[in-house]
Amino acid sequence: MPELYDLTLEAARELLLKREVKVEELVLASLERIRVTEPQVSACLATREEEALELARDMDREGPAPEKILWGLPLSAKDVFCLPGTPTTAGSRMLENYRPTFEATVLTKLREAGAIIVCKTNLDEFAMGSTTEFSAYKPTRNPWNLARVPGGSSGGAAAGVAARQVPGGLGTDTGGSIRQPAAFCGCVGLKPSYGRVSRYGIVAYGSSLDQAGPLTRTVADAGRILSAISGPDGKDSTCSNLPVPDFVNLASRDPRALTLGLPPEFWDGEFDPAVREALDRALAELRDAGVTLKSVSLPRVPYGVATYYILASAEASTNLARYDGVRYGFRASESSELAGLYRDSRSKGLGQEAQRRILLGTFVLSSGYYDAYYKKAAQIRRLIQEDFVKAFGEADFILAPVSSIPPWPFGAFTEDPLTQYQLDVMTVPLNLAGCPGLSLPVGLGADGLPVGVQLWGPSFGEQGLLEAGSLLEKIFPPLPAPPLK
Amino acid sequence: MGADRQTVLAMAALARLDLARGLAPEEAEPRVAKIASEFSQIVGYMDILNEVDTAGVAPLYSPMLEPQLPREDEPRPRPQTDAKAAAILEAAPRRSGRFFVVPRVV
Amino acid sequence: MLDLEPVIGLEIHAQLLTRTKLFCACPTEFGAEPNSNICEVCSGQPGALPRMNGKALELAATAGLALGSRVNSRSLFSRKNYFYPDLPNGFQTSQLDPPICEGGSLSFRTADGGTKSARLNRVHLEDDAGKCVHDEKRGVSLVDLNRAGTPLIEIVTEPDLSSSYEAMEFLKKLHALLVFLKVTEGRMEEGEFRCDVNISLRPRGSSQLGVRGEIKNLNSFKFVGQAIEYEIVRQTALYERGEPVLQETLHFDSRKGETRSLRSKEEAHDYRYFPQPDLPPVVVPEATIEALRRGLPESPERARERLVALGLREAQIALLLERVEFLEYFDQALAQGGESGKIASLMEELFLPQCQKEGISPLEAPMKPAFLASLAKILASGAVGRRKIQELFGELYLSGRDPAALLEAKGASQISDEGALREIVAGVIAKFPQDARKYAAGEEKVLSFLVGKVMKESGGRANPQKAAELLKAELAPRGV
Repeated sequence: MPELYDLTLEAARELLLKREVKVEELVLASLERIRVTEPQVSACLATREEEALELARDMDREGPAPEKILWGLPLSAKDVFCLPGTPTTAGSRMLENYRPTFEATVLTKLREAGAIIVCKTNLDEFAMGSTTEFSAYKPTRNPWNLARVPGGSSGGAAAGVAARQVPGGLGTDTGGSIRQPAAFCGCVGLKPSYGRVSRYGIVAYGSSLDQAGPLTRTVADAGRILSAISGPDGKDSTCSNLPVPDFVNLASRDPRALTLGLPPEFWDGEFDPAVREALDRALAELRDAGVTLKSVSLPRVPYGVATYYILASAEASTNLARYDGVRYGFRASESSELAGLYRDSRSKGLGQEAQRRILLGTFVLSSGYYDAYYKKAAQIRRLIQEDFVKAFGEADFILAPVSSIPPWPFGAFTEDPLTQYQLDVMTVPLNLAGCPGLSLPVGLGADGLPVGVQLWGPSFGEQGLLEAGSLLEKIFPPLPAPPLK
Repeated sequence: MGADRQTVLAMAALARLDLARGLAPEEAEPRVAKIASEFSQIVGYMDILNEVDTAGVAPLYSPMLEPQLPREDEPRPRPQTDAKAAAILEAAPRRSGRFFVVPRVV
Repeated sequence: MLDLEPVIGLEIHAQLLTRTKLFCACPTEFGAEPNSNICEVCSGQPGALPRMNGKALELAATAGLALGSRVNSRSLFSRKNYFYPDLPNGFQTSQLDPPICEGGSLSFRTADGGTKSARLNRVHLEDDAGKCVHDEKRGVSLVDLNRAGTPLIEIVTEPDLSSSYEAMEFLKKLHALLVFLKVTEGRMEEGEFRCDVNISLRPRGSSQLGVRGEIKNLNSFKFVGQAIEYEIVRQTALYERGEPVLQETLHFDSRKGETRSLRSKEEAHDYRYFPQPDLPPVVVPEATIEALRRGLPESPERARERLVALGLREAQIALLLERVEFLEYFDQALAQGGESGKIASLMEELFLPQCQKEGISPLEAPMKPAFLASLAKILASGAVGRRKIQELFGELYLSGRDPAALLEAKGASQISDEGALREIVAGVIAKFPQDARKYAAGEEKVLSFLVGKVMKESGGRANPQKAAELLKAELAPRGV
């Protein structure tokens, strides 16, 4: 039998339901794996040993509940999901001691599906970044190469899943924050359609872009978690009332009946040779399997980065206005004037990247610049969405790379924010359009680092996306465990 | 387009940020200059959007296309509100009785 | 001397009469302990999201319809960004473009007895801020968020008013209408109806607008009048000295009777309005707008004409037009056939004060309109004196029964005049001779039937014991 920590959600579930493994054993295996690998990867900001074990023992006493699709399974949650009784920091000093007074809807749903949250994972502060280097606490390291970034902002979630700390984790994706770290760490990441999953209780970054989703080691596991967290929420007006299809029992697809559109705007660009080589190999394998690949243009995606950073920063600048040191969170105590209290608390409590985006967002909304930046970007967002609608008329799904370069060494871009923003070019358009996307590994590059691709589907088409993803997974099997000590 | 040092400082003031907080005067100026230069680089890049003709294009503010469903005007049970209020007050960094405390505003 | 005319526009904030806040299920009650009506949404906790109160939307649309505004089937909330300790999210959620209602007008009485109409620009929904209490001694301010998130409508007029008198008359009329419609409670001392005044001067006859001052947050009609008068004098003096009027935000010090500058244009806010991404568009289907329009009560003007025609006193008319449910109650009682003057006076003197004491709406009172109508009939017939009714009113109000029965049980309606009762008894005997004979023949159980008839004939006002005695006395001598 493989190590317990090596099991996928599906495999672990089978053993749990047959009572061959106790929930407590599974949770203990996860906690032990965290203890062993954490000094190397630094994926977690907090573990919930006592609560998780207590819950596990209760579940063992009561016996399996097969109707709960995540019964007894340990998961991680990015530290933006409000969880009462556990600090929720969003990776910021500002919320260092913040203990939420209410539970994020997705965590309620996971709990009701029987999942056990064993740890809160690291991220770039307020989910702003693509490396975890902007976490106020520590950077997370890529389990495949500890000198490299794991991607971000859900870097802790991706590294933890890849390092077998947990079989699955919950992240958020505002401009690629699930898909890019999933690709960098060699796991599966799913960004649902905007509105598929409730945002209630998720520390907000870009409200019209944020969406929670799973990071797992298999496509089926991603579907299982998505099933648990999807659906209407009376507390979130932006959460769709559309019915939720079955994401657990997926139909299998015939590769010869599948047409993938490849946007030349991405595929014709410059790539790192190792990434290029892995991607070309993947395309050849897809063709060999009978999948039809065709060029489908998304003419406005080259404007995605500028559009995204204007809109996301605008929303962020006001989402982060609540951090003022008055009601909760960090408060600089020195000032005896209100202006000083605000300035000191915010300047000290918020990190440099959060401040940069607040400045940018304030600028694009300010009088005299609103039309030229904010409104212009919102108009281009419309055009990008139209590009997507048109593309899905020409192909079943869009196939895109995730990153043109492999996970980079720490510090490579921290002094060059614009270049780092531009690296998001292949992930941000999806959030602008509000469509779902699935990132999965196609193998390792010559440098030994994972390379991923993403499949994009039409809005609320997660079921088809997961089916196509399962097909691709047969062609590109999940990666083995990374070489950790 | 117009994103100079003055603009950056004005935005910082609007956003209640002190870009040189905690720095000695000789460090403050280079820090502000660096932020301003990065900022103007980023804003300069945003100008590529001018390549796109958006005349007559309706802005898309959110992909959510369903209208909001209004809520019933029904208060939550009192004990729940009491519990919420107590927990929120408990978290206040500075409190006087049941009030949040700030430096005098007028 | 320059001949200047004031140009005045108003922005009125009215707190909507809902049970819960605009975006969360916290109660809106006034006077609760500080920070006891707060939750994650209205205290701006990370991750909390708003959910709109449907009742607030309905009230805003109702107000607009009553003011002749166009209700937009699609409106949008925006964030208005600024920092203040009573604003937990760092932004107010308000409607910029499009608002729920646009256009409309309200006419009011002018000083010379004529009428004038002021156009409305818009009516929009927004949430209120909390409150700061200042502790001078300790040099701190104390923040209470109970009011944060309370639903407001803001009504913005065009600059159509030209004197303090007009502004006050307009406001009184608007206040009365919104209170009548139960859109707001309108308690001004509690800030539920407050007003910002935009005022500028221009040479009489000019069509250009001058630079305006904005006087913030006036919460009485009197202060509105005083503040406008003061501003006219102040701005006139500036014109006369050839000094510029600054566009500024002003505070009215009601103790000194003067305005003073809060902040000038240089430090003006940049609110950075943009569409609130947490709230999709508000869609009100045409059918809903139509239903609301149909559901609008008769306008207070029309109702007044009707009440005047009924011959009610002015004080009674004013009272009935205070709240739509007062008028509804009156109309329902009137439909039972009561006398309008008596119904109105019973409502004015006894019923409405009792409702107020109990803190309930007239239509929910245990004394139904039919019962009040019945009481009015009793009063009109003179069967029971006003003083007796007054004395027993609390009980009558609470009984939830027809007052006639209760008054009878109390003996209150007992016909003390034996002669009158004897007449009824004689009438019953004449009407039911067979039964009378049966009783006289010794069939004692017939007595209760005859007593019942007497009660019926007397409208329940006969004392049954006395009726029985009289029947016995009348029928006994004839017995054989």
